[in-house]
Amino acid sequence: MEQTPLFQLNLMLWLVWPAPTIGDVRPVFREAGFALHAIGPDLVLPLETRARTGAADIPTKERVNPDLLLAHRPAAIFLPIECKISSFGPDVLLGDAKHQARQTAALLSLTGPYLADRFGLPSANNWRGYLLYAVGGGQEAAMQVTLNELTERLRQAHVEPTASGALGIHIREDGVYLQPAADADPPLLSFPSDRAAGLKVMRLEPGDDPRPLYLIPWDPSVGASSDEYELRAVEERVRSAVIALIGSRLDATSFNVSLDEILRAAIEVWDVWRDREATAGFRNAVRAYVRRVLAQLRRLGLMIETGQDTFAFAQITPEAAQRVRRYLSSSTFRRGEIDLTSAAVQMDFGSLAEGWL
Amino acid sequence: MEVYPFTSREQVFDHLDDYARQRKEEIDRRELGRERGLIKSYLLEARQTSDDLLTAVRSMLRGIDWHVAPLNGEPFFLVRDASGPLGFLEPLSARHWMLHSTEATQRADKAVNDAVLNSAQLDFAWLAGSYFQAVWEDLILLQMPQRFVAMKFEHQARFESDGWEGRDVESDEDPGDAEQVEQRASVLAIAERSERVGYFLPRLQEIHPPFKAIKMLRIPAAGLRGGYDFWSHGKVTYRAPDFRQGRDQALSLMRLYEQVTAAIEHRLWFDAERTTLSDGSASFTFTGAPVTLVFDPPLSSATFQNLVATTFEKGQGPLRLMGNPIYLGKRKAHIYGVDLHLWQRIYLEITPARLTAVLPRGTCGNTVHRLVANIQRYVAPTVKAHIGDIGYDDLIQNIFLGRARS
Repeated sequence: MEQTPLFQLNLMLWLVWPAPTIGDVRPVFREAGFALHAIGPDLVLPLETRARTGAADIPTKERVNPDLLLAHRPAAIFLPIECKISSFGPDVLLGDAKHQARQTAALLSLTGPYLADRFGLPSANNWRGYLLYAVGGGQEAAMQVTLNELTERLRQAHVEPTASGALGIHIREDGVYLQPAADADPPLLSFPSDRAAGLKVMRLEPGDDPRPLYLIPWDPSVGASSDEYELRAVEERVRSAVIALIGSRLDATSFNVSLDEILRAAIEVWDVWRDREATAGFRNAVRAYVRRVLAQLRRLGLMIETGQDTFAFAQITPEAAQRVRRYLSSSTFRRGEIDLTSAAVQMDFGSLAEGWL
Repeated sequence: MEVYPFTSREQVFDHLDDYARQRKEEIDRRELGRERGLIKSYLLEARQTSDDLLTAVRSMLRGIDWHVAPLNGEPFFLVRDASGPLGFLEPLSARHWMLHSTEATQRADKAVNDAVLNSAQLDFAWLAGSYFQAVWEDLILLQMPQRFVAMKFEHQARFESDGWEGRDVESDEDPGDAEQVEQRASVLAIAERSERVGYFLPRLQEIHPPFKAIKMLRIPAAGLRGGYDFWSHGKVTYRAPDFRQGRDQALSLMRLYEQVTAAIEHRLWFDAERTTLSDGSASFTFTGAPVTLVFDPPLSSATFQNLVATTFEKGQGPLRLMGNPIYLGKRKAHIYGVDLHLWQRIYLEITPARLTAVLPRGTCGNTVHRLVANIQRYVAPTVKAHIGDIGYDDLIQNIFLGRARS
């Protein structure tokens, strides 16, 4: 399989989740004592860092969101993790506001004490950081060159950078391996003496697909996925959220379901992104799907009033509840199409009157 | 209309004690007729909707053809259905309940099965083999070595063939011999002194793993002949002349069940947890852990494929899970689905070697008990379950023995 940003992100999450020692996934970050501290935390560069990088013509971003932030409290270590399919160079062309090196320079300038202070941890000055780039297998050496170069530029600009390293995610016949670049030395992780062999983090049989269950099935920052598995995973998440939220409440005579509840149930980290512009199309698509489901439920005898993003169910009889549950658990509903990606459903029609569909 | 002649819980207990004594005498004289039901308690788990028990019970039973009336203002309810009096509903908490009934087995079983099937608020309390193993090893074997113990074991390899034929209803009767589909099944019963069973059972389990799939365990009554049969689908049959003692035993197991369920939910519930930083911005992290069922030896390809296809594509079988399987090759399927017992979300990865489940916050820990009990009974009798990084067996035993780690 081709690695995708979501595959890399979810793999990293499983590596810090509690799991039995006899499982297929070996949670090496957890074994080393790390815990997940934050998902996509919103971090702002200190003013003096912005001034110094600006004076030295080092392009940076003023706000950054590493994919994951792990923390090891006893050892006082932060491990921000950024996942990338490919490496990239350190130089940013004039006017290229989206070049990834801007983000890397910003992440490198966020030190352990700064992060600890921002999260309100005691003895913030005792903390240190290590920025980890998890990249597609074979890209780690080039990524490390970029990290080293940007580190040096920041030093020359009188910004003390945090330590950093690149790890390649290698998918082999018998497993998934993390292979550090030659200069990389991530703290507390035990790599075999033959570093090129890598650290096995998932056991595979020949031909097995390495994708774990996706804890995060969708991320607006990486845009619409063209990976078939990822499209289906998020569709099934939306379907199961609708089934569960409606099906479990039908024993009441009336109840409400909101679009935000459905989005939060489908994607547990929805609130991390809910205010971002990139979520609007997805939100519209889910709203369109829910309205289609509601139209069918009305035909089964339910009274449903629709507000902007709230759906009010009323006068539910036990007989109607049984009919609706039968429908929601039917193969017809299970196999019904969900379109979350076409331009038509991603348009903003939230203000249109009910029933136009 | 038949009316219950009771005005207090004490009167009901006295009546049931007398009833238990009479039935035991009939058992001893071998005169117990099928129409004279032994006392049965059904251990039930409900979705908690309210701390107020009357509100909770009415919400729990909405959509079910049961009528409940509190007995003289006590948190103890008389239950009738369309066929007449059914029994007495007693809360352990707003979430865990017992229905005591003296109705004939067939009628009471059907009434409870139908209620569980038709409600999104109600499920059996599933006592997986690990519960029985803990009670057997840590209580009966050590404390009652001379008492007679009875056990039933049932493993039916129902997923070795395609499709799901036969019963979907929980019953303590043995499956009939007239099964139409040829399949491997082990249905075995033992009644023997505890110390003797303690000698041969570990050997039997080693030779023939279906002996790990305990479907019923009789806990001997203290100071009396007979005992109380605890079934894996949360039913207790009173075969001793003392209702109060049997109820005490059931309460003990329900307390254990409630504590284990709470510990499972505490460990497993998957959610994005929000904290607000000093500058008012938000930070999110994940809580929870996966539950992992390890199949050792791994399932055959046919069993793996039948398990996924029967459960999810055909919507059949005992697991009552729904969802569209996403196949990743021939040996792995992901299902982002729904548990139809309580209509709650569940995410599953199934391979021949493992079943990994993620329970989003709010999905009842009861799902884990049901999954383990049914997988052991119908798929793999040697299955080992892990709640995050702790063994399910260890979790139950630790809580049973009051050890710190839960």
